[in-house]
Amino acid sequence: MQQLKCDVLVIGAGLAGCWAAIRAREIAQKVILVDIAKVAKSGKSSFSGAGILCPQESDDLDMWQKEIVEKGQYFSDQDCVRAMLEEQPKRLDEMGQWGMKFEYDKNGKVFRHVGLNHVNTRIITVDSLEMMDALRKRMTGLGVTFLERVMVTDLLTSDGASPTQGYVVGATGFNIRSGETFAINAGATIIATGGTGFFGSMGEGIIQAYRAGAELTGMEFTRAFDEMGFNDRYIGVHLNTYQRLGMKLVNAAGERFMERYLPSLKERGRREDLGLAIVSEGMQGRAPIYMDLRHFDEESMNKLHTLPSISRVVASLEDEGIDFRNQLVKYVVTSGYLWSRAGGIRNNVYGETNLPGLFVAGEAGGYPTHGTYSVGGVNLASCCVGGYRAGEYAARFAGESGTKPLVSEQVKSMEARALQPLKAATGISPANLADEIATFISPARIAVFQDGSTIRKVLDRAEDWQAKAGQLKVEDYHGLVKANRLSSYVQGAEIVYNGHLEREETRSVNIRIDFPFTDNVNWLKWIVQWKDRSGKLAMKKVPVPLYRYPVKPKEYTKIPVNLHYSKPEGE
Amino acid sequence: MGIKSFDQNLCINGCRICIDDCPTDVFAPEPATGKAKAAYPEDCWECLLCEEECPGKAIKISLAAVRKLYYPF
Repeated sequence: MQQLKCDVLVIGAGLAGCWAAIRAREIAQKVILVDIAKVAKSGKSSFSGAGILCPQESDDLDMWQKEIVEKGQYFSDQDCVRAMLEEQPKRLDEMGQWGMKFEYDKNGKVFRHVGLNHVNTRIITVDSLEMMDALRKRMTGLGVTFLERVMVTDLLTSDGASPTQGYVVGATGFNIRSGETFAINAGATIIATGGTGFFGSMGEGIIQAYRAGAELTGMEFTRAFDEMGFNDRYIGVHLNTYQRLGMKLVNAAGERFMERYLPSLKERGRREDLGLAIVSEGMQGRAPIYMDLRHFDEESMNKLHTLPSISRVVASLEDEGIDFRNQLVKYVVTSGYLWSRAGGIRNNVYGETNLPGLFVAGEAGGYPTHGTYSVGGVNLASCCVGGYRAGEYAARFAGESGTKPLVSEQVKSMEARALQPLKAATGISPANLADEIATFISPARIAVFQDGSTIRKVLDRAEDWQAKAGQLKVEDYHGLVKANRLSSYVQGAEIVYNGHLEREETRSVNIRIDFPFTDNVNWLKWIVQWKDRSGKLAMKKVPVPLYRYPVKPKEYTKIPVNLHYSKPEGE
Repeated sequence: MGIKSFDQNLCINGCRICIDDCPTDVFAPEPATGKAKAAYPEDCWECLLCEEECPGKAIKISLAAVRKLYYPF
């Protein structure tokens, strides 16, 4: 086992992690950035559509804040929203200095556009891979130490206990090719591992923090449906670009059904609202659903073929015979996989968690800016500002507190736990268990239109999945990644579904057909979940401190939600 | 489908770009030849990075998902 020591350890090299490492290194001497893949070619950010919220000094930031908070259903941490709006111009300037390219209008100003669903806020679109390359170069220049192809498997604590009563003092992990194991001792640790939902990531960073005693919040705003695609086989990436350019959706009868669900936004609605409408159409026998671009004029068609990111995808799909110009394209929603959206490790405007020495940035922290999920572009802006702030305060924390030693017994037991699926003589394959879970949670009555009874069904099975996750067997280090992810995922499922059960209202993707209303009388509350000292999942409700926030609801009422679905008779 | 084809004849010996860059660690070196091979094609997430960066144009990716998809109805 290789032992490393640093002031600040950053886990995850997406946009938030890179920003955290940069800022931490500007203050602290030794910063290690560990990533399961290659820095700047990893995580969601590198492959995102890269629409980034772009406030400028001349903008009315109060109006921006109002829009973001209202669309996030008042669940945003408004301190974080304000910090993001005020500090993002500096972060964008710096990325420009480091080589990220902006698009300019004919007056030489940065070209901003209205994102989907935006009214006052504006975004820019950049090339995501170029953006990440610029950050990598900056980190190389500053002397951030990269530890690539290493998967972190557990956090280490000053008292050797999980959950801890002390400090987080680093992490253990292994090289996913050679199997070499690491114990990294850090003055402060920043988790920037994202959520679930991309490149096989299963929210393991969030669950590692949970095991160490960190509080999670917003986990009930995780959904088991999301990924959309074409013709039952093609994954639809950068779908927001099709939306922005004016795609239409029609059902089997040729009806443009989104007019019934979202009369004003129609197909420009949020991704989860589109997904919900499509599933609802399907449940009422009006599938298949098609995407229609045949009405696109030359300018829109050209954009589809030239805009950064989407053009790569469109060329590849056309190469396979999809003809956007002349044909309807079958459009599907997939399910069975828990996609985090606005849940993660509870943190504040300094990126602090409830555990001393543990900080969080980006989606692993559930984007406190977002509330239940507000407008596009907030995620990446949150990664820049949240990453920068976590880097700053983690470095300051490490400077004040120094690096507390590792507990060697804990290092040994964490290493043994992580390697167990490779040592086991017999057991279950991660692919089989993942298939079992996905098959169980994918039907609409569980993945989308839930009620207390279907949520309890999942929770009943979750115990069994946890037991099976303890009996996984893999053949090599590549497989070991999957085993470690999956055992985090099943712990995550228990947390998510307990959150669904607790939240007796329909809000965002916490859909409860037995509570078809958004309850602003009783439920303007964050659910906070953690692992108590006996190892059990504990929960509390924390009122959103609207009394000290500038943006709040005009009135506190129960607002009915038309789900376009009701429980079948006799079920 | 993920990796539609990998033409070993076009792979440039020792270049390693796909091995170094793949976010899901699909590629590994072939010990005998030093060329790359798709060791874990089942883990391709169709990000298109390898196809774009391969200097020998050895790799063709299909956006058809290689992983099993599940549906709500």
